[in-house]
Formats: sequence, C-alpha cells, structure tokens
Amino acid sequence: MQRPTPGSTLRTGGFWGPNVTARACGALAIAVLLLAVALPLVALFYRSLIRDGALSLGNYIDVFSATRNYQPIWDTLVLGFWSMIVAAALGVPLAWLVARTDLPGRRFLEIVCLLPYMLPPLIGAMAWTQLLAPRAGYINQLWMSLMGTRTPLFNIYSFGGMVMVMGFYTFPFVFLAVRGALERMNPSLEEAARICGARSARVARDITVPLVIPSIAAGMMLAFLYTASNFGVPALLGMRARIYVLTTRIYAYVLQGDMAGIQLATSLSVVLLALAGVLILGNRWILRRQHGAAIISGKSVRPTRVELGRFRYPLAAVVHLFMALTTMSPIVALFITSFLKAWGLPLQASNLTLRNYQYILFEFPLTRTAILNSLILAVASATAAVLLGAALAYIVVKAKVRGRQAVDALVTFPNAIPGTVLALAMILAWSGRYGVNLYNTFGILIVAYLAHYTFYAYRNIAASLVQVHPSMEEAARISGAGLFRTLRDVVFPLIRPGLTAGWLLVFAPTLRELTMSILLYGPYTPTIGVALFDLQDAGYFHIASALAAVLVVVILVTNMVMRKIVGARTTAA
Amino acid sequence: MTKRLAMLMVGGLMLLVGFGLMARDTVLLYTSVPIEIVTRLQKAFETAYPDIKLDIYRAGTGVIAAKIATEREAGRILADLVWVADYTYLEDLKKQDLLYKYLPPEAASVPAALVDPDGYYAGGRVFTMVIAYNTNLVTDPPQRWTDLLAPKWKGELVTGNPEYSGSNVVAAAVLGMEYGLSYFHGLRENEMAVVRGNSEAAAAVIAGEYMVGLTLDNVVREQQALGLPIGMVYPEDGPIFLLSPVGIMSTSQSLEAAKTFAGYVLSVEGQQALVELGMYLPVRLDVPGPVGAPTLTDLMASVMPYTVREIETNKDFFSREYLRILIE
Amino acid sequence: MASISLRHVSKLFGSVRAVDDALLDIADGEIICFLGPSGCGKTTTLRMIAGFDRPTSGEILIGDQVVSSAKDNVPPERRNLGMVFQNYAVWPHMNVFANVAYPLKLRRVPKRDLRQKVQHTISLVGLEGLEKRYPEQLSGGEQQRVALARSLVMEPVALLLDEPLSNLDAKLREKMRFELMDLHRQIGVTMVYVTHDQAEAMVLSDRVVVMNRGRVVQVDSPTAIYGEPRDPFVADFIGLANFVPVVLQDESAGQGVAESTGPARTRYRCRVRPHAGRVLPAKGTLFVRPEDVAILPLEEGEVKGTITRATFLGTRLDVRVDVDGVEWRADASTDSDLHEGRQVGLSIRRAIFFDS
Repeated sequence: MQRPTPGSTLRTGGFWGPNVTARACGALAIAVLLLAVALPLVALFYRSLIRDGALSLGNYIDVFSATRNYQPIWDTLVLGFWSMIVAAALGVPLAWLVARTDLPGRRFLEIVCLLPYMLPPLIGAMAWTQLLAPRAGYINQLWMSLMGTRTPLFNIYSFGGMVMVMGFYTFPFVFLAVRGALERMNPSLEEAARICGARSARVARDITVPLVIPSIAAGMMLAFLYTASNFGVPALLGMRARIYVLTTRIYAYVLQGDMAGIQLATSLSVVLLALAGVLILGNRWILRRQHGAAIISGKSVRPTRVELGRFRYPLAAVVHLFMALTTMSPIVALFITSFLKAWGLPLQASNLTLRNYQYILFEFPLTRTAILNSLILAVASATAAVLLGAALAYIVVKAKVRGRQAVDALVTFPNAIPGTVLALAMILAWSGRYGVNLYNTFGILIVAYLAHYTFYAYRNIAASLVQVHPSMEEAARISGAGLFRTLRDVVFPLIRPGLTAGWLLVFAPTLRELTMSILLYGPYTPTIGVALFDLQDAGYFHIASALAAVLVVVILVTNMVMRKIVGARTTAA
Repeated sequence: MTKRLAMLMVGGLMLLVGFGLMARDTVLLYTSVPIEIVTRLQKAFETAYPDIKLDIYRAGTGVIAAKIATEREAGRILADLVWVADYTYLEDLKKQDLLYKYLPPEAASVPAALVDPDGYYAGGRVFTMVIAYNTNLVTDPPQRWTDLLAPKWKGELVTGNPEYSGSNVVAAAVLGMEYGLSYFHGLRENEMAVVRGNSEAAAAVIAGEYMVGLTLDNVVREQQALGLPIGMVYPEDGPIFLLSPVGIMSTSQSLEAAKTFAGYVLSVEGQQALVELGMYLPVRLDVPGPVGAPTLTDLMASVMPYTVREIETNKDFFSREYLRILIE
Repeated sequence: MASISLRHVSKLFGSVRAVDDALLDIADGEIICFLGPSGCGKTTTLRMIAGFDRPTSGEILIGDQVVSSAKDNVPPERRNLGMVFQNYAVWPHMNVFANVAYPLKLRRVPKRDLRQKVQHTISLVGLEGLEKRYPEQLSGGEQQRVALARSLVMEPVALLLDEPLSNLDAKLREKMRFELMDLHRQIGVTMVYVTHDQAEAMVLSDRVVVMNRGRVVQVDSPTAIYGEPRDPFVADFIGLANFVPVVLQDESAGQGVAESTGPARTRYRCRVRPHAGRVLPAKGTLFVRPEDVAILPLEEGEVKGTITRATFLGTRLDVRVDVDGVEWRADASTDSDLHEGRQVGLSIRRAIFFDS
C-alpha cells in the first residue's frame, strides 16, 4: 500500500471536516441561508429605524401614536388565541382517536385531516364564504328559504367566521404533533402505570397527558403563529366585518402608495416580528421545562389501542360527519360555484356552465401565465429548498459543526415570520439598494419562498437523517466510498421519503402562495395566488372558484404521484 | 429520485432563461382597468400596432402606487404608462416630476373638461359612481345619495374601499364635500359594508348579499348584459364623475410606443373598443355610447360639480375619515 | 494483509480521555480482541484504526504506512479495511448481492470478476440463494453474514469487527463464533475484534487486549489473561474470582506468604509479582479463582471454613464458604456431599497477590 500523496491526504482529518468540496457546499448552504434570511431581516430592522435619511424612532412613534393600530394588535392576539383553541379542541381528540383507538376508518380520517394542510387558507376562506356568506352562501340560502327570512344563519364575515376558518385550517398542526407523540410513546410507560394500579382514565391523566403536553403546546403555537401571520383569511373575511389584524393593517400601510407608507408598514412589521419572536421563545421555554419529550421520542412502536366498544360506530359516524362537513363541504361548494355562470345565481341547470374552466385554461392570458409561473416557481423553490434543506440538515444532524443551533434557528424562525413582513424585508434587501435588484423577477419570489418554506424541507430531511444510523455511512466509507459517493449511494436513497415529503411540503404551499406574492409579484410574474386574489377582488367568484378547483386538483394529484414515486422499498433503518 | 429532482430543476431553470429571452422591446402599462377588459383591449391594440408589445400589470390603484414608490426607491421604475381610476394620483406623479408632458393629437377631439390644463394627460375612460340595486329584491331603489340613510336600507348597503380602489377615493371626497362627515356617520348607522372594489360590491348586490351598493355605471351595464339581476340609478343629486386618463412616466425608456398607446386610447378605434369591451361612456362625442346610457354631454351637466383641484386637496382627509368612520 | 500498530495513541473528547496512550502491535494474520466494560475506549480505538476518529496524539500504522496521526488522517475509504458494525449496517435499499458487491463497484472491478468474487464471498458466509433478498427479508443472523461478506469481498488488509455478535441470540452467537474462526482459518486475514463478552474474546482471539478507562491494561493470550491477570481489574473482569484482603509477610523469587486480616490470621502461599518499592509487610489482595479452591474433609485442608450456601448449577456446585470472616467461592463436583453448615477444609492450588 502506498502512502497517499499530500494532495490527496486530507489535511484536517476526521469524518466531515477534511473534504474541501464538502466544506464548500456546507459554506454555500449557510451563505444562502444568511443572504435569504438574515440579511433581509437586518435590512428590515435597520430601515424601520430610518426617517428622512437619519436614525430615528419616528416610524415607531407614528405607528404607536395611531390608536387605530392598537385594535389590530389586540385583534391579532385574540384571533390567534381563539384559532389556537379551536385547533386544539379539534386536533387533540382527533389525534387520540386516530392514534389510540379502534375507531373505524382511521386511515381515511388521517388523510381527511391533512386536506386543509394541503389547501391554501385563501381558498378555504373563499369556499366558506360560498357556504356561509350572509344571504348568498349555500347554507344561508337554504336556511333563509326554509325559514322564510332574510336573516342568515351564520355570517362568515365576522370575528367568529375568521376564528372558525383559521381553526379549521390550523388544527392539522396540533393533530400531526399530538398524533406523532401518541404513536411514539413507549406503551410500557402506560403499562407500568396500569401495573401500579391506575385505571385507564387515571393513566391518561397522570401519564399520557403530561407526556403529550409538549406536543400539544408545540402544535398550538404553530397554529397561533400561522394565524397571526396569515393574510388571505383576514383580508377576505375581516374587512366586511370591519376587523383589521396586523397583516391587513400592514398591507393597508403599503397601499398608502408612497415610501412613507412602506416605512410605517416596516415598523409595524417589526412589531409583528417581535410578537412572533416572543411566542417562539415562550414555546421553547415551555418545551425545555418538559422532561417527557426525551422519553417519548424515538422509534415508532405499536401503541396499545383503546377499544371503544359500543361507542365505536356512533362515535365514528359523528366524527366522519363532522370531518366531512368541515373539510369536504367547502371544497364541494368551491366546485359547485366553479360551474355557475355567476356567483349568487340559483342552482339550476340553466345557470351551469363549463365556460369558467375554458376561460381560465384557454382564453384568459393572466390565469394561463399565472398557472405556468406558479408551477415554475413551485418546482424551482421546492427543488432549491430540498437541496438547501438537505445540506443544512446534514450539517446540523450529521456533521455536528459548531454553531449548528444558530443554523437551526435561522431555518426555523422565518417560517414563523408573517409572510407580509418577510416580503417587505425582501423588497428592502433585494430591490437594488445592496447591489442586486431582484424586484419584479422570479428571483425575489424564489428567495422569499426559500426563506419561508425551506423549514418544511429541512425538518423532514433532518427527521429522516436522524434515523439513518451513522454506521450506514461508515459502512460505505470503509467499503471505499468518499463522502459524496456515500451521500449518493447510501444516504440519499435512505432519506428519499424525507426528501420527497420535504419537496411536496414546499411545492404545495408555494404553488398557491399569496401573502408574500401579493407584495412581490411584478408585471411578468403573476402567480396563481395573486390571480385568485385578483379574480376574487374583481367579484368574479365563479371564475376564481374554477381556478381554485384546478389548483386543488393539481395539488392532490401531485401529492399522489409523488407518493407513488417514493414507493415502498425504503424503510430507513 | 435525485435524478428526477435534478431534471425538474434543470427544466425549471431552462424555463426561467426562456422567459428572460422572450422579454423583447415592449411598453409596460400599470393599470386598474379590470383585467378582463384590459386584456381584450391589449389584443385590439396589438392587432392595430403589431410592432408594439403591450405588457400589463393589473392591480388596484393603491397597489400600483406602492409598486411605483418601491420601484423608484429601488432605482428603476418599470412602468411606462399609468392608467388608474383615481386621476388625482396622476397629479401626485406630476408633482414628483414623474409624469411626461404629452398630449396626443387625438386629445383635440376630447371635450376640454376632460383634458389636463397643464397638458400632461387627457381622459381615457369616464365613468360614474352610481347607486346599484338587486332587481329581484328591490322595487323602489334609492333615488338620491341621501336616500341611503333611510332606515329601510339598514344592513343592506355595500361599497368599495378607498384603500384599494381609486374611484372610491374620489367618491369619498365628493360625498364628504357635498354632505359633510355626518353623512358618513349616517352610512355607518345604516351598517354599510365595505368590500374591496366596485366589482366585488356589484357581485355582492347581484348575489343578494346586500340590496343596494355603490358601484360604477359601466360595471352595472356589463352585468346587465349578462342577464344578471342588477339595476342602477343615476342619483338625482348628481352621480360622481370619474376620469381615468392615461399618463406616461417621465422615466419611460420607450416613449414613442407609450405615446402611441396613449393616442390609441383616445382614438375613435380605441374608444369604440372601450365602449364595446367595458361599456364605458366614450370620451369623444363622435363615438356612440353603450345602448341606453346617457350621452357624455347630458352626464357632464348632471354630475356633482367638483374640480380636480378641489378633489385633490380634500381626498386624503375625506378618505381617511371615511375609513375611520365606516371601518374602525 | 498487514500488521497494525498503535503508537502512543490517545484520544480526547473534550477533557475526557477516551483512549490513553495505547501501545500495541497487531501481527499480520492475527485475531486480536479488544475487551473491556462499556466506555473503556475499545470502540474508540477501533474507530481510530478505521479512520472515523482521529487520534489526539500518537500514530496508527497499517503495514508500514502511517494512516493516522495528529496531523494526517487517511480517510476510511482509502484504508482498504473491512468492518462489521454492531447493528450490521446492511443498507436496506440494496439487496444482498448489491450490498456485497458495493465495495467492488467502488473499486471498478470488471463485471465478470465482480460477479465471481461476490458469489464466492456469499457462499463463503453461507448465503447462497439469498442474493436477491432485501435486508428486511433476512433474519438477524443472515444480515450479519451479509455484513461480513461485504467487509470481506474486497480482500481487505484487515477486518474490523465492532461487537458483531452482540445482537444475536445466545445459540447463534456461539455458532457464529466458530464460523468466524473457520473463516479466519480459510482466509487468514488480520482481525481486530471489539467485544464486552469475555467468552467471545477467549474463544476467538490469539491475543486479548483488556482495556479499562481508556488504558490498555493487559495484552496476552486468553490463557494468560485468565490465569495470570496483571491486576485486580483484569482478574475481576474475566471469570469469577475470590478477593481476600491480606498482608504480604514474606516474599522471595516470585513466591510469598500472605496473612489474612481476619481474627484467625490464616496464612496463604501465593505468587507475587516483583514490585519496586514494596515494603514488607505490604497490604494487598489475594486473588483466587473458584476452581483453584478444592474442598476437602475438614482435617485435610490448609484452611478451615464453614459452608454458608451450596448452589446446584447443573454440572457443578457453586459453594460459598466462610473462612475467617470472608466469604469464599469454590467450585465443587456435584457428587460431593456439601450442605449448608458443614465444616470443611480448603486447599488453594493457586493464589496471586496484588498490591493495593
């Protein structure tokens, strides 16, 4: 055996450190992260402190001296709070039923629960208005004709309506977190309590619930942040109810139409950002105080299922009916409206048409361009996010470099930042002031999507990577494969489900993104979200519904196809 | 899987590059003209002038103003032409030296009242804010703006939002100057709902969500043509007149093409297209208006008599108060 | 095939000395076992030989080439070693053939050679017919063989095994031990084996390296490790042992006399290692294997005691005898009539004195 030449000998030794190319890739990933996230946020904060070219707190003074800004802050908190409560009230019992009981149709429920997750809240809000708009919604019309009145059953344009829609759209966060915890929890923990003499209710109270609380808290936190940072629902439902939240207030400042307005929007954004930051820190603090998290994480085990006995079928009926109402009926409403000649016409054969579809797919240049643009953007962003997320996940999970917590935080944080804020930050950082002008291009949209959504890819890939035992890679290395060969032949195939899931989780929301796009799109870059908003805005509800229906189909089909591609043959050891 | 991903990525990049190449010499219009109408007008224009490619960015007046402010801050304004419903925005641009001083020859055929005395723009579209109502639900629609305060309309009124829609800025200013803030309070008393734009307000009336709404005459005519249950009243105390002129940005890189478009809008051909596509009143007396619509001369005689200057001075105050009273 | 040398190898994790100044030469073709309790540094040492961890100081040589030092580290993929991991690390997305063929693929071995070599190795480990199977369709033992085949297929200079049998059940473990020995006999590759199972180490190795708290304590043949432990740790870790507190009264030429600290002050003859600076009488421990204690009728023994417990173990009796306040453990044949409370004499065949 020859002594390796100095050139091929790795200078610094070790498993990760030595490979120069690997280091360059890692450094590149971190650089992208800094440029896409850190720089815009710093720029945002800096600009919020500038007034007439000088450092000043003037913007904040203006923002806080306008009393009309107090109510939106308060309403944001209250809306977030109630949505979170609704999300927990729905998500926790459903998670328990799916994970821990013999309820019939659990698999189906699991899929149905995730439907809202895949569809944009804007479409949800649209669909719900079609059901519950006062006097014109299908349910209200039915009610009014049954009762012979002009008083609707429920007005979706209200605080309650906003809470309801946001709650329905955020409960999957709680559901997923709690279901995961319940499934991973070692059944022996509960069995031990049974042996000690605790009855099942007591076991639930003393063992199960305390161990699941961190997951409930984490899911509720996500629900809150998602609500607080959402723009589509309050924009669609809030205005007629005269309710402004921070995101719509910020948008209103932007609409003021001058630089002063944008600066005020910036300052108000920093308020929203601070709110999100406080919540995230609070959540971390809660989680750190819980010792249970460490015990329940780990391999999935077969949990013991509660037998529902004679309640089994009645309960199943109630749950399935409820889920059908909350998740399926808006979609059905959407499809119905998409076949109407105009919104609000009675449901008669003479009022039905396919023209809306023909129009958006073949005649109307905006929607055609928007669909194409969104597909390009979603594919490009999802791919870039998976590459970036994979590199960062590898750095954090496997390479264990110093400062990996900072990397982790930088990927995670932007997901909690309201899109409106992030979009403003992007404009400030990437509209030429620092040498690069991406404004009005695909570039700025992709950077914004990356900043906001890489987290989804990162989290999934990291979770897959954690499950790949180091020896899998070491076995390849000792067989003679270098780092990249090892990644290609062993690591990537093993984390393929994580990569696919990550790709999908970025693809779906970017395909219909609205909150950021509405501020960032340019003459040549309209997106589906923007087209939907515009059509809705112009009162073409029937056409908007057709576009939404197409989008729903595209997202669901992509989901199915991708899952097929992943195939069965991969179970990471 | 990795291969597939790589292929998708390469495909995406190629498409991006393709888009970059496609962007040839063009003129770019920022407009609040409803998207359906403006895309058809674009087709008509490009047929008439095949050597010019007209690109369009459609948004509400507020978004367009924010966009231009941001682009200016970023160092390059993309828009060559601006065509919004709130003509006072053009006055703002004029003050900031962002408007190119130009009147197309066709402006000579437009009534003097629709031409900027400083010579920067001439009216491309005219429309009026009117009272619309659902013909299935309402038999005796309000005849005057003040009729809207009658208790019978409580909870049945809808209007657009000045924040989104430029025409509602002007409407707020005119109604405020004419009837004072108490009128706004009265509307609030009657629980007038505020949606985003005029089209949405019309859609809500058609759907029967509200019986009566403030919207634009051409929108109503369009919906009537589709056979939808909407009617309108030109209020006796004067409909609100709106001018929507085309302005050319002084920063434009393709001034000639921009001038061509500004001229096209005022031409007989352009006005005919607008009448046909959007059911607007023509700005030229030599072009017949939509069936059943008042003539421009009759209309000008009946509208509320406020000047551009008056509206411009008062619009900020009244639209802010309008929002404060009706929304907050 | 090659020898492996560790020259003053140390490894620090933070301030923890995982491996402390290890000095060892492994001969070409030798089977050597690293044995010690968990956390003793044996796996770290193996991983340094493999190249996954880099020594903080010292050097590792494979053949006459320095592969690891504080400055330089030949990455694992260029060391041409085979390694079997504790959890096998058989790649779940490749079938048996692909797993085994992988190292050859990396070395761009021509297709025909590759097929032949893989087939040969697969039959060597007894997996013929399972080539197309995926790991999830294999038993633990079969996966083990796949890992083994994969590590042997490219004829490594040495084979490293990290507790390879610890996940198998007792029967299979025993079988695999002998199979590994047969394999070694056939191909003669240098094997470095890490285990915490002393029986495994005893059966398999030419020499055993006992490690404790990062230090190499003793390197010897299994017989020597068992019979001549260097210190109380080795004595205690391997097999069963009696430890009796004593004071060494006399020594000469490796033999000595020790006196128990109990009231009877029983005296024992024992072997004594030379120890510089020992001053008589010296406190220490007497080490005696249970099988070196013969139980005799009361009057025949050198030492007298009372049986406190006799436990039947199938082939032997495990007898506890109280001698002078210390409980001894002795091994007796099952036919002897030993019961609780009986007074007996003990004869000690071999005892070693360790200084305290």
